[in-house]
Amino acid sequence: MGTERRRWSRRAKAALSTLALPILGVGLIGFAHTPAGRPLLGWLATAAGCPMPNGKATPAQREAFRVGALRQAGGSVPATSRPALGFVLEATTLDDARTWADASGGRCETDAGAAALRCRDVPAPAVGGAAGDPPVDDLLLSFGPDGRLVAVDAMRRGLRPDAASEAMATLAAKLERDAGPPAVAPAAPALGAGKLGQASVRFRFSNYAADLSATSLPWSGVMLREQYSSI
Amino acid sequence: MKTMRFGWVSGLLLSMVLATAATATGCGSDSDGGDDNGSSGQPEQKTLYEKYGGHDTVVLVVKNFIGVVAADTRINGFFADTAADQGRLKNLNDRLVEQLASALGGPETYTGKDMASAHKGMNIKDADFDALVEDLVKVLTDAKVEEADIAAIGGALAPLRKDIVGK
Repeated sequence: MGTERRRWSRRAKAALSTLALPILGVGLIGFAHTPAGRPLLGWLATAAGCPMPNGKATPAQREAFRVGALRQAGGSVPATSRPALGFVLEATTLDDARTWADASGGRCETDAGAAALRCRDVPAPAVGGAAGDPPVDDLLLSFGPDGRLVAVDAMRRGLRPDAASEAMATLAAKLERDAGPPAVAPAAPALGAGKLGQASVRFRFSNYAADLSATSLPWSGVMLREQYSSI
Repeated sequence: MKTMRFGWVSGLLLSMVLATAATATGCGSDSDGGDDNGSSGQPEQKTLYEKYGGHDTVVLVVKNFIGVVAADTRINGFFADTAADQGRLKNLNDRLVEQLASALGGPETYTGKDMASAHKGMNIKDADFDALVEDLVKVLTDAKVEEADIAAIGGALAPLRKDIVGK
């Protein structure tokens, strides 16, 4: 009996030690993808080559880099409101965004590291536009280390120069009404005709930044970009 | 890896300044580009480095460029871990200043590594490339680089795109 018990005990220990490592690994990886565990994910990315979006920076590093730059260029007064295509900066979570994505009609995926949600071909009404507006080709929702939304980027590509200029003027007027006056007055270089050039409007507040730009790229027409960021 | 990470940035800067240098010195095929040189038939020997204010302007352009890229959530992850280390950030800044100044015709010498194979394995996508070009144009526009000089960049960037994207 004693020999039999010892044999079972050895088998149980062997089975446990075999299972322990995968269980520990799964647990560790799961924890690393939580907001609290992201420093660990950053270390794993460096030490073990775990795939990370845009290189191997952690969400905390990206956020420090982003906020540091925006604070230097930020304004002195807060924005009246912080428009962000219907999302709420510093409040919308990745789960909220996923729920929105399911209903948006766009093709969305979460970046490795859970720091961003990328969507393609998002119908305009899903981001507060009119039904007749062109869809957003690329939408990027970026989240900080605490899992809250910090920036929204929307790109529309291949636009005609006149359509891009008109859309930018409409967006700028709406932003001025909702957030406050722009920090940099609109410039109006000639766009299109295969030339590299850009027209932009920038809004800078102590707690919010918005950038609108229409960039003429020789290889793909005019790209209209909207970026809304918390500071 | 450190040099690889900003290799494509400096590659873009280099192409940009070479293109603008060609325009400003009357070497480009764009006839508009040579108008600034006067009609006496005696081309000015002024470099772009001198035209746009020398070392101080280059330092400012690079500083602003890093700031614009930092705020650009589409691509800031390529640089954020470098920026988290003050020593590496200073190295990135200094090498970019050297490279840009040198290519503009300034007296600085680029002391960084060569850019051969710099883009291999970085998996840079079309959208990443476009984002960086857009940031670059923003900084150049702010630095009052003339439209004709910025427009000349496009010709140099188009072939570069296929060498960088998807490698």
